[in-house]
Amino acid sequence: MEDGADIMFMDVCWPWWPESTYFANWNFGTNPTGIGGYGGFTGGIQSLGPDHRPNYGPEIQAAWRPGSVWSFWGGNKEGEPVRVVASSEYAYPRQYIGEGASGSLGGSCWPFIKQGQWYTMLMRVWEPVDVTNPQYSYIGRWVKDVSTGQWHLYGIMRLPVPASSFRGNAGFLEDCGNAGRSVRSMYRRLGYYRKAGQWRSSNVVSYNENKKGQLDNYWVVQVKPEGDHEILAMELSANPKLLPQKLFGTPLEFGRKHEFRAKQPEQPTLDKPKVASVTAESNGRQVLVSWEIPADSSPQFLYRVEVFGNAACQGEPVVVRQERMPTVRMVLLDAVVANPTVRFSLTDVFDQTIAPMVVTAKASANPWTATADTVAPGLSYELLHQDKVRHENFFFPPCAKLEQSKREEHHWLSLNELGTGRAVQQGISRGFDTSLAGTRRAGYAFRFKGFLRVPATGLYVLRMQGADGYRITIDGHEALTWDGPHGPAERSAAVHVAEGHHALEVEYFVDKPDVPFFRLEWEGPGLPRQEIPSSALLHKDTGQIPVAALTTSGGNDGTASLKVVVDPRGHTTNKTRLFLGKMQIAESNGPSLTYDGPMLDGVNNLWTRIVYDTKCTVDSEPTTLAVHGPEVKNGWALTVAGEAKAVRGVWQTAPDAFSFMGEGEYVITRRVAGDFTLTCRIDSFAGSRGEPVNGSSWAGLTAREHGDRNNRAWGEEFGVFQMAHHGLRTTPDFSDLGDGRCNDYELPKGHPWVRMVRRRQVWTAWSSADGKNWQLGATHLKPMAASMDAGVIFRALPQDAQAYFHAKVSSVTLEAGVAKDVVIPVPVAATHTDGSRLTGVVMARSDAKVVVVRSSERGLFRSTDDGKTWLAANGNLSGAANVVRSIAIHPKDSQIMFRAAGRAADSAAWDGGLWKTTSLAPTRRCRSWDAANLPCRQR
Amino acid sequence: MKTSHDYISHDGGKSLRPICEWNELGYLNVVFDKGSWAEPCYATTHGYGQSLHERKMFLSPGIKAMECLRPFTALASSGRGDIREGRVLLQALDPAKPGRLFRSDHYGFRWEWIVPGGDVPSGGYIALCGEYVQGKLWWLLATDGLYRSDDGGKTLKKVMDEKGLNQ
Repeated sequence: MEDGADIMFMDVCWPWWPESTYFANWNFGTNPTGIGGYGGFTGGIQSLGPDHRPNYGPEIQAAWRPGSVWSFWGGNKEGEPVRVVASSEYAYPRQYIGEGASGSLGGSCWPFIKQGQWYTMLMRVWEPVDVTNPQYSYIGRWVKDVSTGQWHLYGIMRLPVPASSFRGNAGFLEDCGNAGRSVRSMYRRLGYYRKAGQWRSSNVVSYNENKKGQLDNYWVVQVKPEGDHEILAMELSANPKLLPQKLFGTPLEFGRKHEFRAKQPEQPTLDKPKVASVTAESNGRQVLVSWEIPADSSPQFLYRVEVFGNAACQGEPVVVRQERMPTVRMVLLDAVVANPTVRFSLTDVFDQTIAPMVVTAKASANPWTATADTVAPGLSYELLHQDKVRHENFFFPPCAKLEQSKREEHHWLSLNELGTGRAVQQGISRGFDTSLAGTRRAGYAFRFKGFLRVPATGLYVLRMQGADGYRITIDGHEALTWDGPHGPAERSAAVHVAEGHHALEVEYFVDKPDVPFFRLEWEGPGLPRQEIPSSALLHKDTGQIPVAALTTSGGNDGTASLKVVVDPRGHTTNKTRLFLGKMQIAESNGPSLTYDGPMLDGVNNLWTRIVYDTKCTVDSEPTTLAVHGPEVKNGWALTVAGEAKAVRGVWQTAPDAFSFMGEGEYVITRRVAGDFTLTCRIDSFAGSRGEPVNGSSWAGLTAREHGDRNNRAWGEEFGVFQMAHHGLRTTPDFSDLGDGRCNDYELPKGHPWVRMVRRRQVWTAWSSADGKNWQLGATHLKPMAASMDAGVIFRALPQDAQAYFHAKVSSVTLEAGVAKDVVIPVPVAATHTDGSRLTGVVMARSDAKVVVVRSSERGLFRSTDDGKTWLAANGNLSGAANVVRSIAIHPKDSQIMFRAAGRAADSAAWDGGLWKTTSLAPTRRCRSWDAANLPCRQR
Repeated sequence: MKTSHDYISHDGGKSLRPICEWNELGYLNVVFDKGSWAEPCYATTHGYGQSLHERKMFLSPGIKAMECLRPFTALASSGRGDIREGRVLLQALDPAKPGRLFRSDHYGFRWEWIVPGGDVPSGGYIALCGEYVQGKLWWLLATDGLYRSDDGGKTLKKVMDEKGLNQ
């Protein structure tokens, strides 16, 4: 595909489901550069037998369903990542995942995707319409079931850059964990892309085969005719004995690029846009327009709604709304028009249009009247648990032979089952606060009850993104329901309500821990689309619930003093909790609480939660406190290494001390050249007493090649840091594909002092209980730039955090050279290694009966019968060539061996070399060895 | 002090180039069993090491009893049946407790001591090797001779003495 396309699509088919595979048909970057991603479908069926053949069992193949991945990398210069805007009912947003991705949307089961069927995979990138100089853009992804003609939205991502096209696309078949031992296959056809408004073929697939011996992936590729086009069929395995399976031919030759072209029509056949119905209603001040798109229509891209004051739609419209947003099916416009007429236009994802449709708005029914109940802030809620799970096939078809089908379990599948739940907690919440579920990840439900404060009489649109099932009831009318487990695809409904308070009930359950999601938005007269604020959510005031009084002081030095006193009003107070924004910062076991500690920079929203009568809670209204503090200075530079908009308070509390509270990643560094010693003491950190911060938050030391850069553009890094829940760690000593960014083992506990030392390219991490006696923690050889930015790091991920991470470090010193008390332990000398003796043993990987022993003077001894008999394997070699230092056997041919041998001659010169067997057969006695004068390339 | 190199060949042994260079470090053994030729594991004078992306290398001092694991005198890998992850074995020179093996079933990230039965070596191990597929058959060369295990290191049988004489 050429650089510069804005749409690309292709058909793919999986002829069978193999084991553990990531079928990534998307691997792309955007223009301008900086954002990239990949996507596809995943999973697999266990293979069979010792050679790991695919399990072609027809029932298993028919019942299995794949999961999916769509991951993005990169962001803008402020560190803003890619965000999920819209999701399918089978995918779930995951903002922070592995491999450094900045945004992701994945699912564990796509029920309509089946083996042997064709699916059209489509992506489009676009900028918003009617926005001058936009600094953001969108990418949408769709999947069409070719057999039914039905299109499915996969999702929409918001990119924090004005991307207008793709740079290209690639793909891969990845074995997730089994090194390609089995065989996998995918078919592709009818690939097209659009560049500068013109459709072009993407029907040539290139395979870049590495040289043999590096990554031995064997491809068999075949072009097969089908109607007016051809199919590109491919099979892949690391085991050539498994190829081909369903195709013909031999594996592609290693060490070169192969190209295959599948014939296809010059122009694609595009589905047409369809609109099943358009309806409109008006209350004289607003116009509500909704429409339906049939399943076999091409996907919606842009909608345009024009409201006229005359039935012929003549003249200028009173109001116009248009938007490039494929998920919208309902819009609400403020328009003071009597008897409005609506002209509706739609453009599909291929920029095909429908003939405009004209409808006359009907008059809205009378608004529902408000109640006169006495109310107080917060919603009444009940939290339910369902601890039992049951087997039921909701996603996978029933199949006794398929593990995924047999193991499918659910806590509950319908809102109607909530009555079987166990009520574990109740009280008054700040709006739809699903964090009240605590650490529970599955099998819970909420019943929120109370009132919706409607600010003005009018039509309101409710837009819900929820996973799993929910039911929203207003004034006894079921306004919006989506029962059963599903992803947070958006659904909308409209209500006409009078100003005042309206009875509201929301039931919501989470079945399995895919990724729970709850976002309920509204828009109304003069009210733009937004989440329903907690100030609009109320409950019936009984005057009998405990209340808390919060007083604040300070805020000028990055810290504050906060005091909470509870009036129990006849109840027993079990706990008092203090929150800052969505995070808890303090807790007590009684009716009062004090907090003296760090705060966020700027306006802090503080509120309290009282736990009373064992399983009841009540949340207070928020109080604000403005906080500022001592900025970082004295030669230290503060860099926001993560997202610029993350909340934080990073303060320099002394010339050599710093404190932190918040989210995101921050480094405080100085430039240093050559060897250096960097030391600090970690005085305190959240998580040390089990606080519910994100466990992978940390504070400590870092050295980066480009400490002034964010978004992982800082180059190579070495660090030693205290993690909130996982001890003292260093930067990884492995490939870190999961992007944990920390090592797998802990350094000693109880060591608040940490130190890193650079000595040329060797980096060591140290820790100490007292800052005097240092213990070596890690030794890394990492070639890095001569000058580094070295200093302090604070890093806190929101993820599962229920409290802000905070930490204090002091005694920060950065000194040139290696500290005198840094002494690397010396190795212990080996004993009993002198004299003529055996020095090594090697087995042939291809034949376990072949074993070779090396010796200090007598060369090699070789057994080909599992060690029963041994023969010398030295050929005509003698002298230093039999002082064997190392031996290697070819992994696939046990007759090929290398020996490295030699010794210091009397003159102290080296006498030795490297030899390779030239012939073993037929005696297999290694009678012939050649000196292998291998050239060694210096880099 | 001379720089210590290890070399890699990508062309079947026709040419070699250095991939790691580290002063003060002696390489005693190397295995490739982490699913990638770019990530070899080393037995070194200063402990168990693993390389990453060729020019990076890490010593792992986070292992329990690390002090007695310096140097690593022997290192080998073997299969685990259907499990692709390599098993890495090693034993350090530990005169106080001869014969013990230190074993990892997960790429060297987690380790445990095992004490074989049968003929237990009286000296330290020099070299080890394991059968690649099922991992039951191991050969172990100690300072006092060659040993064999048919049960994954649980019991050992002495095959030769240190001079190469059959037992």
